Amino acid sequence: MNPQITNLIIILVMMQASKKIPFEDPNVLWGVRALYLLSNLAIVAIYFYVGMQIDKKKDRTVLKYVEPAAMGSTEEPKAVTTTVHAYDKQQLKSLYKSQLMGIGMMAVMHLYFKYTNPLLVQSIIPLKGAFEGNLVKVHLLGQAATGDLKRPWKANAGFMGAMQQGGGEIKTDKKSIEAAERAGRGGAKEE
Amino acid sequence: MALLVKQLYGLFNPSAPAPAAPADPDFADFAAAPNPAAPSHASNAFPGSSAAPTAAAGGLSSFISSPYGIQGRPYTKWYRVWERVTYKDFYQEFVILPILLVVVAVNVVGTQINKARMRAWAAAFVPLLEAEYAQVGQDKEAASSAGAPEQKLKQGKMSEWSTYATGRQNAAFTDVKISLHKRFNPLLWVFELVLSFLFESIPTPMERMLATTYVFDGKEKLMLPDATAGGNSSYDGFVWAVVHKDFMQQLRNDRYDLSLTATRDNAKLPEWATVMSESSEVTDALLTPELVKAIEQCGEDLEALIITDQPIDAPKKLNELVPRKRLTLTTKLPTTSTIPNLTPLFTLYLRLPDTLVQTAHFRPEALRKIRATREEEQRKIKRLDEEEKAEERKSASDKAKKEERERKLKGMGAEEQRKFLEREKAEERKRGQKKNTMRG
Repeated sequence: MNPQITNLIIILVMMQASKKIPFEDPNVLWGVRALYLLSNLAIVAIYFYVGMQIDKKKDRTVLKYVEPAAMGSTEEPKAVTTTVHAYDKQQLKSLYKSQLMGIGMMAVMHLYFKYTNPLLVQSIIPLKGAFEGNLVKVHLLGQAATGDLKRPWKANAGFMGAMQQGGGEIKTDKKSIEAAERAGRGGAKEE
Repeated sequence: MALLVKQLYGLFNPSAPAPAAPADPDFADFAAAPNPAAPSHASNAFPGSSAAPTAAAGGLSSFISSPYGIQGRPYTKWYRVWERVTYKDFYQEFVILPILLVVVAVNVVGTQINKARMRAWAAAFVPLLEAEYAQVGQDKEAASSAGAPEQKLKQGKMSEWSTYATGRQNAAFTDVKISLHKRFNPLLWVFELVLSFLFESIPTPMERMLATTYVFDGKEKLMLPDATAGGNSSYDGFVWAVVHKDFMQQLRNDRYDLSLTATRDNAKLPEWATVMSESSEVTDALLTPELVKAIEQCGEDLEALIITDQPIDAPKKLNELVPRKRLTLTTKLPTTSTIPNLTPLFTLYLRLPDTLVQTAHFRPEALRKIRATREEEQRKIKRLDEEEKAEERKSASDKAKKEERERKLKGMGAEEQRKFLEREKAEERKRGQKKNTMRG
């Protein structure tokens, strides 16, 4: 099933379920907090293991693709030449970063605005999302990096993906790579 | 006045009754109060005793275990500090002093480690520079004297040392810079690490060596007024690099010259390295077996070896595209155990100007592609330049028109002005209608 639909179902179900949970009870409250921390620790552990696997494989196959220009910019598309190893590392870094963002947001919600309900949903969704990430699929679940899992990976659909992608798809055909690779785009100073 | 005289008389005549309250509040009567009275909280300490406090006899023991809190300190002579204070007054200092000591110790140790690393580098690499160049070191006196190798390096920032070598055939000079971790300030070091994790634009702090050689390229006469050098030291211009694969994307982003090249894996190189080249013929000529062997030997410590004639920053003016040939070598800063792995590559790098002068002359067919790239880049800049100029011209002519209109209006009478403005409006309306009908 589409992960976004399952996410939606989980959110709806958990929202109803969290109405029944007595968050006023300090024991329950600390239990939910512990659950949230545990789920995040599990995610970090998964990512850490994936990071170890990436370093262990150290696949130095060159990966070339053309990144579309950011939305609204007049720049030409950018050629990227990297290795599978560096690409995976970079993806992992962005995974860590987005997890950090999630925890930060949750901290503000819970500690400052005193919302408790999201703790429960946020203990489940990110953990589920971690297993749906391409990196985890390839390195932890041992799926072959072909077909949909062939690097470079498509940005995940949805609003955030659309924002980043903007100008269109990542191109991997030989012609556009060769055109963009020697375009002399480097060293441009932002003003 | 009379009152004052009376008071003064009273002072010098002790038998006279002292005034109950001084008339002038600003007048302090020191003579009448030879001994300061203890403040209320102090005098409370010894109820019923106004003589010297007994704690005075206690000496140091009272410092360690005074029975008094802040209330009820004995009031003694000003210099008898030990009678008035206890160790309880110094809790803050007990915390601050160890931290201070740790900070100072870390700074000293960090500086020493950095210096040791610098010395190890200098001991191995300065002799290599000295073997190739007449002068090594920034200033002439220090350079010519046979001092310890580390004296040829100059500290720039706290974590950077640099040196300079000149006096060689084919190469004008070489700049070498080594940068180390900020071990003397671990907080700053960690802060930079965190920032580099969070923001892509901030590079991860690394210990590295950066050497740049500026070659003569047949311009000895221009650079040295009293040059007698014969021979031709020029070679063909191109951009070519051997880079570590982990750095190839970063280099492509940061450097204009390398973004003109195509990345090609080369079977001769180890799998962590790749070639960025403008032409395969250049690669074949430069990737000599010795170079391959030296690269293999440095075991992933090599970041990039770049031969270039193009600017690093994207050019905006045509004269920025005038070739300035340079050779750059960046490596990780070797530790004492890996230094021997890097010295062959460094030696080869220092002799690269000679190799290039000898071998880097290519067939015109091979250079055609390279030249075409350059010309295309020149065209791009020219086009941008012309667009800019056209815009300037347009704005200038608009301004002139506006001024002309204002001048005309100024010269006219009220009735004339009205007519003129009406005519202008009518013209505009007509133009607008035309547009509308066109669209329709």
